[in-house]
Amino acid sequence: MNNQQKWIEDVMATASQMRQADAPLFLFTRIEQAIQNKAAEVISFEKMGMALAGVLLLLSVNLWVLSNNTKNMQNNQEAVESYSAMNYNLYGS
Amino acid sequence: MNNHHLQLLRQTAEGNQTSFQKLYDFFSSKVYNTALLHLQNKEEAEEVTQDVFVEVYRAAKDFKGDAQVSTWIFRIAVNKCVDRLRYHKRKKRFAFVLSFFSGEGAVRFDTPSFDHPGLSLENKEKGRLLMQAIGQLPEAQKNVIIMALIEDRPRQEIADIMNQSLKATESTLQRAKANLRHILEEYYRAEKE
Repeated sequence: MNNQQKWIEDVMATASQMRQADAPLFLFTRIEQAIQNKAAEVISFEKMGMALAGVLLLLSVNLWVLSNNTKNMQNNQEAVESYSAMNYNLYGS
Repeated sequence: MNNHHLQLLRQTAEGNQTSFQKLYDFFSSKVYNTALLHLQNKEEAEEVTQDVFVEVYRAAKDFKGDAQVSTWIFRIAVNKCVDRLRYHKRKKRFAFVLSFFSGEGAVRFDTPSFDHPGLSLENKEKGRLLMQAIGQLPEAQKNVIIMALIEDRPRQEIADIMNQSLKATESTLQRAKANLRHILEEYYRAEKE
């Protein structure tokens, strides 16, 4: 084995000499904090979704009531017209 | 061991903090070392370790059990490291292009030398050169050689983490070793000149 090969083998041998380093202290506390923050984000999204659903529900109820009222008004108008026509014999018989 | 880890993961998915801490206690240093070897930066390795465990907690309920828990966790770790390295590469490329337009000339980006905290003093210099040489390898070769040469993982486990066949992993490893020797030969010649 020449000098170059020996040097390369020595450098490559350091790979097996790297002892495991310990994870930093208090990292778990930071992880717990990050998880809580993410959970808070999720909750706020949920709240936003619920608020949006509420608004949509309110809008659809309003539209439904409005369309029913319009129909009722039309029906009432037709009823009044036919009643008047019958009672006063407006169009002759 | 995997059954025990699987049980801890299932309990974590149900929100059991004690089980999550047990998983963390078992894997944290291993994940931190994997990140340290890939990123060659302590602060970033710490951030990636944090990201990995947040992901483990979040995705515990989605774990299907088709791989070992350890393989699953290290796959998350390696992917996070690769994502971060790609982000740095993109940033460098963008800054490089920008430097031409700003008229300041090309910006040089040298990877800072990295001392692995687990190396003894007499091996620090050689360890630094090895890490520098590994840093020059293409992404897939770098991932495989770190897991095989430094972490001493079984080939099948590396293949599982990399999500590829054993044959492909062995072939990548052979190429990585050959390239690593080639880079080290250049270092040797440069040192002697």
